[in-house]
Amino acid sequence: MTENHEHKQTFRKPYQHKQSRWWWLQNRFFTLYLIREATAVWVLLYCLLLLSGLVSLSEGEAAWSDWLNSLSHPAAVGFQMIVLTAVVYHAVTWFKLAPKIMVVRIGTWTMPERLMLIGQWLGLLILTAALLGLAIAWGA
Amino acid sequence: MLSSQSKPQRQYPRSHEPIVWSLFGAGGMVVAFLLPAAVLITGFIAPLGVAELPILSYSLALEFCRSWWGSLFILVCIVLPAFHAAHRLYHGMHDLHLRGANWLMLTVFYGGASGLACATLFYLWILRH
Amino acid sequence: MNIAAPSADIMKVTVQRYRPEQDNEPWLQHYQVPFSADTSVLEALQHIKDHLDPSLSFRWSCRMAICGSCGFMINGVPKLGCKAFLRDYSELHIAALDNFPIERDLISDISGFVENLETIKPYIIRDDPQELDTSQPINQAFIQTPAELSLYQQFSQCINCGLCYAACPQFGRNPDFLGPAALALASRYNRDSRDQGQEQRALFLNAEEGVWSCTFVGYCSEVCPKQVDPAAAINQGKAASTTDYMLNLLSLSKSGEKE
Repeated sequence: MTENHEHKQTFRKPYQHKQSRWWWLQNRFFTLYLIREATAVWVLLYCLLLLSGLVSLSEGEAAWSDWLNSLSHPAAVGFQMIVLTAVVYHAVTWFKLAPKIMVVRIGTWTMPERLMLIGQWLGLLILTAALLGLAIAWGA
Repeated sequence: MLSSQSKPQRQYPRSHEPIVWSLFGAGGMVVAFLLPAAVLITGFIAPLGVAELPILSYSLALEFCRSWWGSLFILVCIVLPAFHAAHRLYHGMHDLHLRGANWLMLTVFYGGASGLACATLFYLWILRH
Repeated sequence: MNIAAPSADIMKVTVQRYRPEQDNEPWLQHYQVPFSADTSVLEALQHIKDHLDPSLSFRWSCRMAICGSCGFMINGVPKLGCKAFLRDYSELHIAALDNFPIERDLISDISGFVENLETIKPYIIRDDPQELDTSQPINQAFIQTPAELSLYQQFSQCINCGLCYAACPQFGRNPDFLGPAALALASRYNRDSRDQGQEQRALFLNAEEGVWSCTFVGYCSEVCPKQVDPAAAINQGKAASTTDYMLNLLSLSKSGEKE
C-alpha cells in the first residue's frame, strides 16, 4: 500500500455501543447467570450466621441457648429457607460447570459430562445423608 | 483504535487471580457439598424440632468445637464459603458497573473475607482456652 | 407478482441502519420481505438489497455456515444469518453484532478481534525452528495419532464469526479482554502435541486480559455455531494458569533460597 495519498478522505466513524449496566436483563441466560452470582450474598450472610453461633458458644451456655432459640424465630427460618434455595441453586449450576473445567481422561477415554453430573449429585446426596445422620446420632 | 502498524507492544502482566480463584473453587465445592446439610441442620432440624440434636447441647457443641476435626469442619464451613462469596461479589460488582478503585474493591471483598477467617480462627482459639 | 413461491408469506423485518457519513447513531428501518419455508435471514437481507433498498450493507460470503461472515444479532441473539430461517420467527429484528464497533449498517469492525487472534500466536511453535524440514508438510514432519488429535480437534472448529464476542458480557465490559474465540484458539495450539509454544502463550493467558477476565457466563458456548465450547477452553485454561502460578511461586522461593 502506498502511504500519503494526497486526497485521502474517509467517512469512517465506527459507532461504539456502550454496555448498559442493565445488560443482565437483556436475556434469560444473563439473568440466570446473575442469579447464580447473587447466591454469594446469601452464602456470605450464612457464614456470618455460623460465626455468630461460634461467638455465642464462646460466651457461655446462656448466650449459646439464646443463639439456638433465635434460630427458631420466623425471620431466621425464612432467611435460612432462602439460603437453602440459594445453596441448592449454586449446586445445580456448579455441578453443571465443573465437568467443563475438570476433564477426567483415562487413556483415550474421556468421562462423559453426564456421568460426572450424576456422580456429583450422588456425592451430594450421600454426604448430606451422612452429615445429617452423624449430627442426629452424635451423643444420642 | 490503533492500527496494527503503529501499535506499541502491549504489556500483559501476570494476574494474581489464581490465589483467589483457588479459594473460590474450594469454597464453591464446600457450598455445593457441605452447606446444604449445614443449612438443613441449623435452619430446619434444630429450630423446627424435626429430630433431637444432642450435638447442639452446650457441652457437646463445646466438645465438638474443641476437637481438631470439629474445629477443622467449622473452619472449612465458614472460611472457604466466605472467600467463595467474596470472589463472586468482587466480580459481581464489576458486572453491575458498581466498581470503585481496584484497591478499595480488593480490600472490601477479599479483606473482608480474610477478616472473617481471622475472626473464626480467633473464636476457635478462644474456645480451647 | 413475480414467480415467488405460490404461498409467499410476508414478514416484517426490522433492520438496524447506520451510515457513518450522515448518521450519529444507529436507527431502525422496516421492510416487508416475502419468504418461504427455506428462506434464511441472509436471503431476506439479500432480497432487501436486491429489490427494496440497495443502500443496505452487510457482510456475507459462503451461505453455508463455514466462512463466518454473516453474524448478526437476530432478535437479540447472536446467530449466523445463513443458519437462521424466517420460518422460525414471526417477526425479525436484525442488528449488527453486539460489543463490536459498527462500521456501517450490519457490518461490525472486527479488527480488534483479529488483533486478539494474532496476539495469541495461533500457529505451531517449535523451540528449534531449524528442526522443521520445510520441504515436508507438517503432518509428515510431526506425526500425530488420532488420540492426540482428539485433544484439540473440538477447539480447532472455530470459523472466527465473532458470535461468542457478541455473547460475552465481559468483552462488552472490557474490550481489552482477549475474548472467547482467541482464548479457545490458544488452547487449541497449546493442546497440539506438535506445538511447543505453551510458554510463549502463557504470557497472555496468565494475564488479566487473558483467561482471568472470564467469569464463566457460558453464553459464548451457547451461541457458538460450531460447538467449539470456548467457555470450557477458557476455564480449563484457568486451571492451567493456576498450576503455572503455583509452580512459579515454588521456583521463585527456590531461587530465593539459593541466594
